[in-house]
Amino acid sequence: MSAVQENTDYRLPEGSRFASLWKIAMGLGVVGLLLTGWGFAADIAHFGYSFLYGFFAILTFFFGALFLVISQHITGGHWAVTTRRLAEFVLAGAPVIVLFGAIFLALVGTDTVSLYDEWLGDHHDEAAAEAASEAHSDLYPRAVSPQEAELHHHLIEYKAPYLNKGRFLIFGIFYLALWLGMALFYYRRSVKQDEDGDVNHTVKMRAFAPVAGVLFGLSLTFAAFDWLMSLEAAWYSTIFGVVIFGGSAAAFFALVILWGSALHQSGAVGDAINIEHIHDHGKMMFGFFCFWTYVSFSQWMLIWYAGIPEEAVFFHKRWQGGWKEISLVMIALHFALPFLLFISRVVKRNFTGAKIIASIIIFVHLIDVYWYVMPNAAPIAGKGLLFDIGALLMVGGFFFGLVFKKMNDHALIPVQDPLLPRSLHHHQSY
Amino acid sequence: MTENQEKRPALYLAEYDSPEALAKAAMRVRDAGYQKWDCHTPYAVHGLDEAMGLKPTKLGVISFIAGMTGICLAILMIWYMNVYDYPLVIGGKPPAMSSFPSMVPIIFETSILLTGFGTLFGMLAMTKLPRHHHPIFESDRFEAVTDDKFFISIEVEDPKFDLDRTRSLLESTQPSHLELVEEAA
Repeated sequence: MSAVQENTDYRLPEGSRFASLWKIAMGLGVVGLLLTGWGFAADIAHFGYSFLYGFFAILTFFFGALFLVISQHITGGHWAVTTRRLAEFVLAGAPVIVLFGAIFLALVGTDTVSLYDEWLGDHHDEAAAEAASEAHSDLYPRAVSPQEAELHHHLIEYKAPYLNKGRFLIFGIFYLALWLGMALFYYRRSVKQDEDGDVNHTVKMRAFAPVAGVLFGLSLTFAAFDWLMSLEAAWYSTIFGVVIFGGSAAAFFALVILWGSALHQSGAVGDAINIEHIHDHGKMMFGFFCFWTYVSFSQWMLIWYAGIPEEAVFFHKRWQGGWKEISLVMIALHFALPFLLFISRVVKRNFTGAKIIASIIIFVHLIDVYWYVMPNAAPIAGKGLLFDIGALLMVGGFFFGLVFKKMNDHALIPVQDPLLPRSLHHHQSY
Repeated sequence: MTENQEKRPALYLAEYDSPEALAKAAMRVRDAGYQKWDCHTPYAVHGLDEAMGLKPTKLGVISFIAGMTGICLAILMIWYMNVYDYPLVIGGKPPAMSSFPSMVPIIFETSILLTGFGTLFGMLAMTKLPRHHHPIFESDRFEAVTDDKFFISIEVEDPKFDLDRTRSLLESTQPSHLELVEEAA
């Protein structure tokens, strides 16, 4: 505590182990890049899925940060003012998101990867499809009869006004530009306020927050539709974007708990992030992993209850070849176990307890995104796992490398925020 | 109420002008080992929970038990109705425990309902609410608690309550006013 209070500018202290954390992250990024390069050379078909997995898994943390910052400015709450800077560091990683997003769009646009071939590929044109249907070829491996192939083709054809390459690329560029703009707006305004102390920054950030909230919700939903849901082009779920949002928010609050606790325990932020703040983030994490469970279960139950083949195919794939076990593990780790362990106030107010649960949530969230992407690539779970981990390390390493580097450039909390005094004295009552 | 009606002491009421003075006094009362006493403030005062030595509420335990009871009752109800007493095929799902997923929404809602009941009635029982009257309202000065004054009350039911010793304890905390509130016997 005593060493803590001398730290009044809330800068990372000299020689703090956090100062060089970004180098470790970048190093892991390079390892990931090498693994991904190997994957590209060895198995180009699987490489596309690996890349999408790594990119989207890290993107969800960016989503969570955007959500925390925007919702903070909409509600004006003081409980997360000090941790908002951590979210703004994550927003500062936006260029890496845009870089890998652009690479992904280029890979799809140039047909280098074949993730979306069901609706993007050559056989999408009608004559070829009819010929294929008559010849009973294997262009539609899921269809067991020419009639079924015909029906399947009809369904994809019906979605063609949405599912086509031009719209896919234009929307993709739009999402990336939007996220970059919103992220840099909030990041730059906030660190500018550190220097000039102008309350006008807060006014501007708040004024934009409701619009940003709507844009964020729509872009997240449609990005989830475009990049994940259209892997199974005939399948659809209107709540899909909400499920992705719930998982993203839970995972990001888990990240803040780990990161904030580590900063607190190393003495880097003094008492500006203490157990009172961690307690609140724990409540939010608890709420959001329960919310994820609620919407995931709803999505599954409606499809199970109706039992329509076109819809059930999604879960059918995830109930065989090892995916069934992973699905069951997710029920246990994304809900049952953390629910029972973390429902107690005592555990939420204990750094070790909160960090253990947060680690579980981040781990199972990475499995969650894996579960959405990979069954389309490999009917047997675990195929090409090394390349998948490589892609995750590559995007995550470079992303968090840039994010952690920002810790050296700015104060660790928004030192001039008008709500900061209230946040510093944040206190939970019984 | 007539003038010559017999009265008996109900509680000591000490008045303070600032939350700081109140918190200081609360620590003294806490350290003296009183149980049946309370602080009254116009707004929430941070740190008062610690100054009073309040323990975390047990209400969460009641809510949890009520919620778990809700889960068990719902499973039992659906099992009795749709598996044991009157099996009925609905939506092509067998009337057996293997249709568990279709029971989940009802189990969920029942657990929420009983948690709500448990929390509400548990809170009412623990705070002994609702009640028609409390002797503290016999004091005219106590009206200022919704304005700008801070109060400590020590009730006569407290095992450590003593007309003289409690008075001298409260006097030593330098309240701006101290009175013995009486109620009709």
